Amino acid sequence: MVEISSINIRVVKKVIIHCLVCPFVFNKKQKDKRIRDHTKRGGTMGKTILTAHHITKIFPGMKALDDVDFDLQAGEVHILVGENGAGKSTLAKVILGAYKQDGGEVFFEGEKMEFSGTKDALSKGIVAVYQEFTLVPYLNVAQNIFLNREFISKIGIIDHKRMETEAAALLKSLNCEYINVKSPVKKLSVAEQQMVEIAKALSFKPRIIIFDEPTSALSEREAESLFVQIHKLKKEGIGIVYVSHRMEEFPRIGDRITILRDGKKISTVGIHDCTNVELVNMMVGRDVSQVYVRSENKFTGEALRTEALQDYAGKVKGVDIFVNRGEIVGIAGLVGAGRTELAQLIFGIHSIKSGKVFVNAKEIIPKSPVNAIKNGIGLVSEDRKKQGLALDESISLNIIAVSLKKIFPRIFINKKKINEVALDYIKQLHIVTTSANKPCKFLSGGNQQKVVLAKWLSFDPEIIIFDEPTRGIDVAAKMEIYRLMDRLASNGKAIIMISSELPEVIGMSDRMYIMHEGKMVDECIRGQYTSEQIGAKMLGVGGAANE
Amino acid sequence: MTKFIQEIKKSKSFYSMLGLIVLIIISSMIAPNFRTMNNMITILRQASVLLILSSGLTAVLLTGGMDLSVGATAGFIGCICAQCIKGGMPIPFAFLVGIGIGVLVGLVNGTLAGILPSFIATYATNWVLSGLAIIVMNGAVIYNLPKNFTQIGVGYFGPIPNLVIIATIIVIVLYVLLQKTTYGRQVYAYGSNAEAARYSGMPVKKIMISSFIICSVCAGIAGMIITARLNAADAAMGDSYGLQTVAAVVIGGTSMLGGQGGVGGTVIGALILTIIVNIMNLKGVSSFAQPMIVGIVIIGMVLFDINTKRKQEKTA
Amino acid sequence: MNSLKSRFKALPPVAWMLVIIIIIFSFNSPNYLSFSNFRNILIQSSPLMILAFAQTCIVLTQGTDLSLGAQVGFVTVMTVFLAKRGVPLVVSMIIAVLLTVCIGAVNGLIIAKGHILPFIATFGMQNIVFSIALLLTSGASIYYPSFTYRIVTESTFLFIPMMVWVAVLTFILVWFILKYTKFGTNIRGLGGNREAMVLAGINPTHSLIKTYAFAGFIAGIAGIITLCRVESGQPIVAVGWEFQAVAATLLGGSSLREGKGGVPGTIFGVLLITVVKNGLNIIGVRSIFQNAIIGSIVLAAIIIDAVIRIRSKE
Repeated sequence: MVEISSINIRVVKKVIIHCLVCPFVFNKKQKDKRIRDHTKRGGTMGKTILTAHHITKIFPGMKALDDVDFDLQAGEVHILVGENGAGKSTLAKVILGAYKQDGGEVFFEGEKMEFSGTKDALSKGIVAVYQEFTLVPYLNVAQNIFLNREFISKIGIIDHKRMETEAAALLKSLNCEYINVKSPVKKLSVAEQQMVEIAKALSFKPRIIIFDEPTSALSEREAESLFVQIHKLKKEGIGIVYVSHRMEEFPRIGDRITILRDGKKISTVGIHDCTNVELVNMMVGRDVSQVYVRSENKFTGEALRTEALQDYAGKVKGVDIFVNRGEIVGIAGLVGAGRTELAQLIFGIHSIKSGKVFVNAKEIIPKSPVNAIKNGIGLVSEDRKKQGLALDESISLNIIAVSLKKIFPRIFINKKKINEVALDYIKQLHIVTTSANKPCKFLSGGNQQKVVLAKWLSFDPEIIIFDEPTRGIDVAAKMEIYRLMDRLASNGKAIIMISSELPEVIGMSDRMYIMHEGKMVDECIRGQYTSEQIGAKMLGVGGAANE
Repeated sequence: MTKFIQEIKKSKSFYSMLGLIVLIIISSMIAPNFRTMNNMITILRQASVLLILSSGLTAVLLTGGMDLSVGATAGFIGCICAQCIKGGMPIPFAFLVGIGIGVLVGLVNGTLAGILPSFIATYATNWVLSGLAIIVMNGAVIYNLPKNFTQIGVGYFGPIPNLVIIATIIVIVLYVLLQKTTYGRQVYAYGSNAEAARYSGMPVKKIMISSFIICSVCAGIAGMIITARLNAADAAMGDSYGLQTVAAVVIGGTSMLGGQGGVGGTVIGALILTIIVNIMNLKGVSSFAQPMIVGIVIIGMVLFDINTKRKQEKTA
Repeated sequence: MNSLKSRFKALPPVAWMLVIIIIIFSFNSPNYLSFSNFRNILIQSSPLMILAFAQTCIVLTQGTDLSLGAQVGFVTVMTVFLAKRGVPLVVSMIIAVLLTVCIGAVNGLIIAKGHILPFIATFGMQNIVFSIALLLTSGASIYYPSFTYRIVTESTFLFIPMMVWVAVLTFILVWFILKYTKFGTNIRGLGGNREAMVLAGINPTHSLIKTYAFAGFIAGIAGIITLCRVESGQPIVAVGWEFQAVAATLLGGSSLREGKGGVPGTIFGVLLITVVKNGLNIIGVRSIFQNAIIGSIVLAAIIIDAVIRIRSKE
C-alpha cells in the first residue's frame, strides 16, 4: 500500500512540475505516459448521464450563459474551466437547479429535468460541494452531515448514536476515519472540513457531484488527498463536474475539459488532446504572450529590505528580501507558504517577533498600518472585499480613504474636491461605473480592484505590495492592472507582487523570490530558471526537476 | 423634477423627515393647542437635553458601537457637578470637572468596547455609574443651587431659552465634526468596514475610543444642564434618558451596524420622540402608555427604513 | 483521571471566579458557609436562572432578547389581574404564559420577516410589554392573596425547595431540547450558519419564530416563579434581568457569534451574580450601594473572562 502511494507521489510531482506554467508543451514521452495512466485508472462506464443543450441564462445587464452545450458521462471527471465571469459557476448552478435557465434543456439519464430548486436536483442525486463551506461551526460532524435529516429514534428524539455511526462509515469510505465524528466542525482543519462536506454530499447517494473550486483553500498535500478521493468516486461510476481555473491540477484528475469564455462554450476536449498553451489561449481569447508586457527599467537604489523577519504565528520564519526602486519583485509560493503574512508584517498588520525592516536604508518599526504608510509603504491586500474596500461606501469615498489627510490637510473636507479626485482616477483607470457615488458593492470584481488601486495611487506610496492583485478578475481588467504595475515601476516605485498564479509572477517580475513554509528558498532573476525548476522549489524539492 | 425627487428619496434622512412632517400634521389635527408658539418652545426646550444626548450617541452608533450608559453618565456627572458647586467651586471649574469626568467615562467605555461587545460593556458601566451616583449623593438630593448656574437651564436669551441655544450649538458642532471634517470621514469609514479602515491606515483604536468620549462628554453636558434646569440633583435623574436616547438615534435612521446615518437624522428622531411625548401629554394619554408608543414608533420606523433600503438596492 | 482533568479544564473561567468569590465572602462572615445560606442562594437564583436559560437560547441564534425582563413583570401582572377578576389562579397563570409565548412569536416574526436586528426589535417590544403591564396596574403593584404561592416557595421535595426544582427541570428541558431535538439543532444552526440551514431545506423564519416563542414560554415560567416569590403583580420586578441573563450566558462560555455554548455554563454565570448579591447582603452593605458593587463585580468578571479567552486564542 505504501509503495504504490510513493510511486504515485513521484509521478504526481513530476506531472505538476511539468504542467505548472505556460508556455510549454507536453512532450511525446509524457503524452504516452498520460494515455497509459488514463486507461490504467480503470475502465469508465462511458454512459452519458447528463446532457445540457443550448443553455442560456440572462441576468440583468449581462448574459451569463449563451447557448452552452454540456454533457457528463458516468465515472468521468469533466472539468469546467474559464476565467472568472466566464460562466462556470452559473452553469453548475443551472445543473443543480439553483438557477432556472432562460433557454435550453437539461436531461438527466434521458429524462428532461424541470428543477424548481436544489431540492429537486438533490432528490435525483445531483449534489454540490461548494467553495464556501456549508457547515454549522458548533454542531459536530455527524450533525452537519445529517442536517435536517436527523435519525429519530422510536421515542421521538434524535438518535445521536446512529448518526455518528453512519457518519463514521461515510468518513471511512473516504479514508478519513481519523476525523472524530463527535468533534464540532469548527475544530477541524480546512481540509478536514472539506472531507466532511464531501461525506455530506455522499450521504445523498449521488449520481453526480459538482465540485466548485474545491482546492482554492487547500494546501498542496491536502489537494492531493482530495484527488485520491475523487478517483475513488470515479470508480463507483459517479459523474463529476469539476469547476476550476487551476490548470496545474487538470492532468491529475480530469478526463475531459470544457472551456467557457464570456458565457460561451469554446470547446470540449479530452485532457490529453491539447496543450496548456492552447488551453490558456482558449480561456483568455488572445495570445498569451501579449498579456505580460514589461519595460526595461533602471533600478535606482534599494527601497525596502528585510532581515531575518519572523512573526509570532510561526508563518514567517526568517525572511530576507529587498526591493529596488523601479523594480518589480515577485514572490511565488503555494497557499500557506507565508507570503501574505510577510506582507502583513511589513505593513504593520501583525507585530514583528524578530528581525528588521529597512526603508531607504533606515530601519523602521512598522507597529501599525498608520506607521507603515507614513514610511511610504502601501498594501493592496488579498481580500479586497473585507480589507480593501468599504463596500457600502461610494467609489469616491473609497478612493480618498488613504490620502484623506493629504488631500485635506486642514481638517475640513468638501464633496466637490472628493468627486474631482475620484473622477480623475475613474478616468485614468477606466473604472466602469455610471457615477462616482455608486457604492462599491455594485461593481464587478475587476472594477472593485481598480478602486483599491486608485486609492493607493491617490496616496502615491514609494513601495507598493500587491497581494494576489488579479484574483477573481476578468482578463481585460487583468491586463490593465499589469500595465499599471509596469508603469508604476517605470516611475521609480518599488513593487512587490505576491501571486499564486505562476504565469503572472513569472511574466511580470524582474526578480523573483520563492517562498516555502515561511522561508525564502531561492531567488532568481527574469529568465534565470525554467518554470519546472521554479515549480519544484515551490514544492520544497530542491534543485532541478529530475528526469 | 422627477430626478430631483429621486435624489431626495435617496438621501438618508428622507423617511425620517417624512415621518416628522406626517407627525406634525397629525398632531396639529388632533390637538388644537399643538401649533401654538408656547407649545413649540416647550417642545424645543424638552428636546434640548435629548438632542445633546443623542447627537453624542450618534457618533458611537456610526462606528458600529452602542452606549447604554448615557443615562447614568448624565446623572452621575450632574450630581458631581452639583456637589462641586455646593462645595464652593466656581461654576466654570465645576463645569470643567464634569467634562473631565465625561472624558474619563468615555475612555473607559471605549477601552472596554475593544474587548467586550459594546452593549454589554456599556450596560455594565451604566449599572456601575448609577450605583456610583447613589454613593456620591449618599442617597440624598441637592437643592437650591446658585442662580448663576440655574440660569443656564431656565433662563432665556431674548425669546429663546438658553437650553435651546446650548443644544443648537452642540448639535451644529457635532454635525460639522462628523460630516465636514477628516475625523468624521474616518468615523464613517470605520463604521462601514473597520478592517478596511485599518488597512487604509486609519487610526482605528483612536477613532473608536474618541467616539465614546464624544458621547460621554455630551452626556455629561446634558447631565449638568438637567441639574441646572431642575435646580436639583439626584442620582436617578438621568436614568430615564438612557433608552430614549437610543430610540432617538435609531428612529433618526442611523444604523446600528455603523457607517450610515448622521446627526441630521438624529435631530429629526429626537424631535419625533419629543413631539410624540408632547402630544400624548396634551391629549392626556397616560404616561404609562408612553413606552408602548415609543416602542411601536421605533419598530415601525426601523422596519420602514430597512425595508425601503432593501427595495432600493434590489432595483439599483 | 485524565477525563476528570480534562473536565476541569473545560470549565469556563467563571466557575473559578465563583469559587474565589465564595472563599472571599466566607472569610467575612461565619454564617456564610452554611447549608441554609447555600440553600438561600439557590432559591434566590432560581428566577434569574430560568430566565437566563431562555436568553441563552436566543444568544445561540446570535441575538439578544431585551424583552425578557418585561415579560416576567408582565406575567406577574397579568396573572394577578385575571385572578382579581375571577379567573382561577392556575388558569390565569396558564393564560399569562400563553401570552408570553405569543409575545415571543411576535418578536421572532418582526426579526425574521422585518430583517431588523434582534436588539432593536426586542428593545421596542420591551417598551410595549412594559407599558401594557404599567397600564394594567396603573403603575403600582397589585395583589391577589393565595396560599398557592406558598406551595412553590416553601414546599420541598427530597429536601430541595420546589423553586429550585423548577429551575432544575427547566434546565433539563432546555438542555434536552437543544441536544435531542431538531428544533434545538436548528437553534444552533441559526446562530452558526444560516445559509447552511437554508441549503439543507430548513426554513429560518419558522425556526426563528419558534425560538423566540420558546424563550417567551421559559420567561413565562420565570414569571410564575417570581409571582410566587413576591406574591404580587409588579411591572418593574424584573427590570434589568434580561441583561444579567446575557451576562450570565456569556460568562458561561456561550458566544454571541457562532452558535457556540449552551445552558450548563449559564448556570455558573447566574450563580456568580446571585452569590455576589447574597454575599453583599450578608456583609451588611447598604442596599443603595449594592447596585454599584454588583455591577462592578459583574463587569470585572466579564472583562476577566473576555481577556482570558483572547489570551488563550493567541
